[in-house]
Amino acid sequence: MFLRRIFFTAALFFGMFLYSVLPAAAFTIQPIRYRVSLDPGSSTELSLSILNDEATSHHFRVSVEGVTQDEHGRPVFGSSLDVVEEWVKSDKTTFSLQPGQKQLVTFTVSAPKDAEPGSHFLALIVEPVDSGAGEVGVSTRSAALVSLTVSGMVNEMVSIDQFASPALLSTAALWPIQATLKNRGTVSVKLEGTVIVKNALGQIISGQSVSLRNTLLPKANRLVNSKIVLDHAKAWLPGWYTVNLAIHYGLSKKLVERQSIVWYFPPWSIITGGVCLTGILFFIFLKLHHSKK
Amino acid sequence: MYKIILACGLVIFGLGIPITAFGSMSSATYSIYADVIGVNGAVYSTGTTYALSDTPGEAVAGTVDSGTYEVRGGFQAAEKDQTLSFTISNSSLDLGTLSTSAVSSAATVLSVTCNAPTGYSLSISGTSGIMPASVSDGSVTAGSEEYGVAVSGTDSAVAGDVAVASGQVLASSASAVDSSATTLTFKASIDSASTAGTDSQTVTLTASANF
Repeated sequence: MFLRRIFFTAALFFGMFLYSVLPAAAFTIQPIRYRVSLDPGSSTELSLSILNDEATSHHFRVSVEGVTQDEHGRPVFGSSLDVVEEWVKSDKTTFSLQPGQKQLVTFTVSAPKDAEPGSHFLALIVEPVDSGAGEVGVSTRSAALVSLTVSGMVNEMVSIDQFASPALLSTAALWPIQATLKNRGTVSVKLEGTVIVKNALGQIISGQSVSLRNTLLPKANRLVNSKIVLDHAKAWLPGWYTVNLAIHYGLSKKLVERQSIVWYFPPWSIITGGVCLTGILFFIFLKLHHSKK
Repeated sequence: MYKIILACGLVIFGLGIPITAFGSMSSATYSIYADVIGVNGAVYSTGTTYALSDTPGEAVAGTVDSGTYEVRGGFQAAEKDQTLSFTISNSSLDLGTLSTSAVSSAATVLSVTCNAPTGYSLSISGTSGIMPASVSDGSVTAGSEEYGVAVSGTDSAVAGDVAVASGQVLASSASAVDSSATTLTFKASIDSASTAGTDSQTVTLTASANF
């Protein structure tokens, strides 16, 4: 009897502890990215699977939102971001799932006859309806990204809106590079970037690729941060250096560039110049002193 | 006679090879979603800053794409179906009674599993309700009316305390993750001039793969 009590108490305690650490909401969606191509006036269907991973039943809601990118390439969601949000209808908006049950939701995307060619992006949102209460209630959603391309004449165009090169005068061998790119075209583009430094003689001192992360969506900005570390063996000459940022983008591999000038003085030139200046000043002082005598 | 038997045996053996190359690649406890017949086995190489998985000897491999399609050929291009799972430990947080002498806080743990090669992002997609003024100096401080959230974890995308505002990216990874945990700690404080009352807010978080 005593052992039964101990066993029951231990099981109750363990069960309580296990219950308290179980997640409050868990579900899986699949697929999580779509690439769709449509002609104006045509339509297509997208199927999204939602799986209830929890041990309790839940009520879910599906919806459609627009999506764009922040300057680091990460998706940002919102309503009325793209006209494509109005092209999508789902066969159901709410449903219930038992533990382990899966639901398939079909979204029909219909492009109007006058749809603008180019890339459009939207998100298929799935969220549990029973969100949290309390002083701070946290509601969780999962989104499947849809990249929709309407066929027709498109335009690839990326501009370098801002290019902050190292200071005009520099004695440091580490040069920070910052730039802001903007996609002014109608399709998303892949980016490849390089930074090349040349001295006054036109010799390449440094050349390196720049991390530009993922695809750049239309109307989105991309922040570029990089550093140039000068090789003292190559960058020994004091004088002006050119920093060239080159961005290749899109399927057409177009090029956009920006350049800046940096007056660089290596450490040895500072020391040598200081010694020479001191010597010249001393010589002038002596001349003046002898003249007065 | 011997030659005929030998020839028949070679023919049967030759026909048998493609048959044995096909077959079920799954059972109750495993599944193989992709395979290849190549010169060498898959090689996985690593260094301090890289990892390379390659399959030598394939006849056709590589990526061909245009604006509307992409063909990724070869064994290494094979991917399992991409899924996203999002879990929260506690969706109802209580900060209790706010005071001027200490910062009130409540935390919840988010877990994301995403096998997309581009990784995932987790952001605040909406807020509703009324709370104290948003923090602007990076730290919710006792004695000041401030409200914000701190993020900790491997994929944290913020430093310090940030405003609970729509569009704020909280966590992100550039590669696939498995049960990546991120802790959100909501913080609030008031000053002596703060108006008495009951504040509450619903925060909507959205997780998705990256483009």
